[in-house]
Amino acid sequence: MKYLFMCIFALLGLASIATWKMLPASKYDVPVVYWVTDPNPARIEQIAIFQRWLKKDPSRPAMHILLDAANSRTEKKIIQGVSGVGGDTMDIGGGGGMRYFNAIGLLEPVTEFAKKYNYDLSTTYEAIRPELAQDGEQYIYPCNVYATAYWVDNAQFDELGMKHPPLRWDFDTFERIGKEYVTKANKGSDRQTRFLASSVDTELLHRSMGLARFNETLTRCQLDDERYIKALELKYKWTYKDHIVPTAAEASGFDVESGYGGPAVYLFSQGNYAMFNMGRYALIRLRELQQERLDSGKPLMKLGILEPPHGGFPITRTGTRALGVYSGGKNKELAVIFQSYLASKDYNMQVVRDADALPPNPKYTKTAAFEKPLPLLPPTTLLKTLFAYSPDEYSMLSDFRIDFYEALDQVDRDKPWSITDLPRPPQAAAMSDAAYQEKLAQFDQQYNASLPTYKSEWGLHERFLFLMDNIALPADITPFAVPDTISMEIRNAEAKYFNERATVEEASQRAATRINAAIQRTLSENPA
Amino acid sequence: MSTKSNRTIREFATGVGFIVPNILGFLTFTTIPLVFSMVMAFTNWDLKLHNMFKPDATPHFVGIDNFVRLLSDSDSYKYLGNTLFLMMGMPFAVGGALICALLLSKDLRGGSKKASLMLMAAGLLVASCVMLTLVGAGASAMTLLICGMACTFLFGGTLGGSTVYRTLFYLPHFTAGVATFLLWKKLYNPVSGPVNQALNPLLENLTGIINNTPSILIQSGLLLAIIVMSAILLWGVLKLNSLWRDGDLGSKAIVLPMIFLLVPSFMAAQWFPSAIARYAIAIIAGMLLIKTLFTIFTSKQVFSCKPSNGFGTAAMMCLFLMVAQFVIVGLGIVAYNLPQLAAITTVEGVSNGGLTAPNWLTSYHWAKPAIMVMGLWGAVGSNNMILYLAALTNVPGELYEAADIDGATSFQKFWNVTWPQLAPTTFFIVVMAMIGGLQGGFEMARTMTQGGPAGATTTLSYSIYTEGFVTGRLGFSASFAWVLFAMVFSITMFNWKFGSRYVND
Repeated sequence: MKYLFMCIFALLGLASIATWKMLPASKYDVPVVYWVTDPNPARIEQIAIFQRWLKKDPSRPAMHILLDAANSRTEKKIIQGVSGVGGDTMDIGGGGGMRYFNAIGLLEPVTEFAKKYNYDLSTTYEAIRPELAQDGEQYIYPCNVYATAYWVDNAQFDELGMKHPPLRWDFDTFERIGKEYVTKANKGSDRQTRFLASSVDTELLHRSMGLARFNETLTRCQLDDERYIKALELKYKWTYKDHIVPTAAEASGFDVESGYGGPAVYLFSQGNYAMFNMGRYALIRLRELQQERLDSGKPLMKLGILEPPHGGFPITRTGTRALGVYSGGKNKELAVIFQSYLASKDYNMQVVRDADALPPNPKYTKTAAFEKPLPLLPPTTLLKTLFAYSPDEYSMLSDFRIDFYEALDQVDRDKPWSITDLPRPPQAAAMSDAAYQEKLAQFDQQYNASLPTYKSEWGLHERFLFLMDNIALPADITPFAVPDTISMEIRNAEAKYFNERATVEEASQRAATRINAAIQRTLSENPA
Repeated sequence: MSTKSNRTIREFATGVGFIVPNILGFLTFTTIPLVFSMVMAFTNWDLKLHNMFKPDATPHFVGIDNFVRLLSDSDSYKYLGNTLFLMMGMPFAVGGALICALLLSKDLRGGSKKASLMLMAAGLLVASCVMLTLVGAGASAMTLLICGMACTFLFGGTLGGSTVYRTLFYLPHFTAGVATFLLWKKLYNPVSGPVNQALNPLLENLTGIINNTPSILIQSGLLLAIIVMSAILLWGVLKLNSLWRDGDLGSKAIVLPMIFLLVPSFMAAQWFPSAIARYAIAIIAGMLLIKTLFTIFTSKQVFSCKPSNGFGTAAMMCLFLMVAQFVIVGLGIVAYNLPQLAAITTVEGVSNGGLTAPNWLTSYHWAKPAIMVMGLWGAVGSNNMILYLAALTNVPGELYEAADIDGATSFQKFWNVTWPQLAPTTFFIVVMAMIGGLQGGFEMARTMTQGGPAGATTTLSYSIYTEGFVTGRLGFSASFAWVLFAMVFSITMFNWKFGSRYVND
């Protein structure tokens, strides 16, 4: 028995060594930098572009970026971080996340590196800068930046014989148009299935009346204020009385698969919502939905961008998904080089093309590729099948994608051009010339069929820049309470009021009291 | 002598070698973290302030501050209340598991006659299903699904006997939790979910019936509830009295069961919408309490016993009666409010009101019951059923033979033979279910409701998680966990102290 036991023990030991040897990082002969991020397919292309960018300057050290999409939840990043095994770089959810991670000590200050590698605060939008630095020290740099707005399908208003909603509107106008819309749109229905907007943001409501969540020193929550009470009452009225926006039950009653951006985008395309609140990144899903309409012979949505309704001060929200360098990482020198890549033309143009919100560096929004986007290539998996590439040829395909997009960025949109002027998918070794020509024709046809979808966006992209430059405000945060705790307390207080478990005054008082208690605890435990 | 000693040492070393990996694992992943968390509970450890990046900042000993904060925070009690509410489904789960076990202990494989009957029933169902489809009504996926499942059950049972049914009933237990929670989320969809699709037509008909019936008649359901509840209460008190008189229950042991029995009455006295009902129930409960106390203090037991004797039996019985009373109270209040709920108002030709199916997971009032029902579904066909099945095989056949000779009916055989023989198993199941209930609710809350709406489904375990890993206050979270441990430990102690006595009772 003991020999058997020893054999099992030895086998387990060998298996452990084999597992260690098979770790992804051990496959590369250059240092590996881990990037803890979301499981978005665009990251693969961003890494491929990074490798090309790296080689453009011989002074840049060789490295490989490995995606870690399995640990992107905040709790996981924190626990791994404080245990000394965090990813070298990690996505941080804006200024709130940055302050929280920085309070724990997980983020490396990068002010000096940012100056050295040209990605300091001056290279990004003014409105977002407070989100990236604390006490004069820069900690993160945006992967993308967003300003939220209401996406509207004006075709729905045309159908009901209504005027298109204005770009800027106050609460009363929003309510009046909303009531008219839901009455006309649901006429003759047993159940209300069409709403003006998917949701309203309470924070924007009270901030547009001039009420910030916290006082100037960020040491007191001010939600026990008349303006917050009014914001809650408005939301309640619009949701439960006027039914301009759906209740939580009505929203969950639409049994749809969410897809990228959540169910609101899909329901918007189906006419259940005339508007939904989101940044430019909604286009990632909207493009697919527009294409589906086009393919099925339906008219395209008439997309427009509107500001959120205001109570005196027009505002909207800006935020960022940013990249931070883990202070306990082994490859901090390399990680900052990856961070500096986010300010490069190569990376920014990829964000511009993908419509993954706004590019971090506003310089690249003054391009034809941003203002008048042209169709993207089909997914790599489809191209692999279409042109029958062997696994050995996949890197050739990856190079083609980048070459194609670099050429596409240069296309003069105002002059006639053809897809045949751009780089073409390379011929697979096993494919005959005739078969290749046939596939190319299919490829061209498919590409040209997408043109109307992309042209329907022209003129919208600049709107986000306008919002960013004029009315966008970063999140209202305090370094003295955990962002998730604040959100949870506010959510709970609102739910109590909406579920008639508390009066509006009690709900507002509760939110302020509980958040203030959290702030006071932090201050008393850590007076410094 | 020396050789023998060497051999003993060698054998000991070999034995230790075998268990060392396990011991090391247990120490590393269980014992040390356990002791560590105990220490943490008395410190102000906060991830933001105390971690490897802040070597100068060390957690401080704060005594019982964390426990004081916990006990003075009203939300802690609310989360405890949520947990206890979800545990109210426990008697139904235990009862369901027992019924399943009783059914599945029978030989269900079709004999020639049985099989033909079952096949005929299945055939009828299939034919009905086809007819429903032909007339249009059967297009509903719900109808087809239910018919299909019924057919599968009948055919499967006829061909495979109880093995098939046992597997089917045990299915929820080994299906991955998150997957089933997502499935239930779909079932609870307020518009397209099968639950509401099945309920809506029923409620529509019920609305018509209620609106055509005099309100007083429906509201008298409250009176009926008071009568039934009083009957349960009275039966419980009389039973406790008789146990005490016969020396099966001690004077001290009667106190807590009596409280269990009276809790619903005093709660109902606050909840009942009618003032008469409130006073009536409070007076009945008060009188019964006084009467019992009076009897205990003025009379003598016929057969004397130790003051703590029989606590297990009485507590178990009264816990079940307490839940039954709460259910009756709930039904009575629903009956009282039904006419108002079912009222239909017509404004500008548009009708509003009437009974509608609930918004299960997004309504403060329905989220908890929705989760409880889901838990019930999982608990009925769980390990409890397997334990009961095993226990049923151990009931001596001679006892049934004796009962048959005495001319006992099926129910009498169950009540006087089976149920007492299952007592140790029942007690074990109840105690384990209570422990599991106190620790449970995390996955459901996280997957289905994120603890909402307004904290309605935040349980103790979910709160421990959010305090520890979202807020980062590890010290406070650890204290919360130890309070939970104290509750679980108390129940275990209760089991240890009274379990064997209950079984012997």
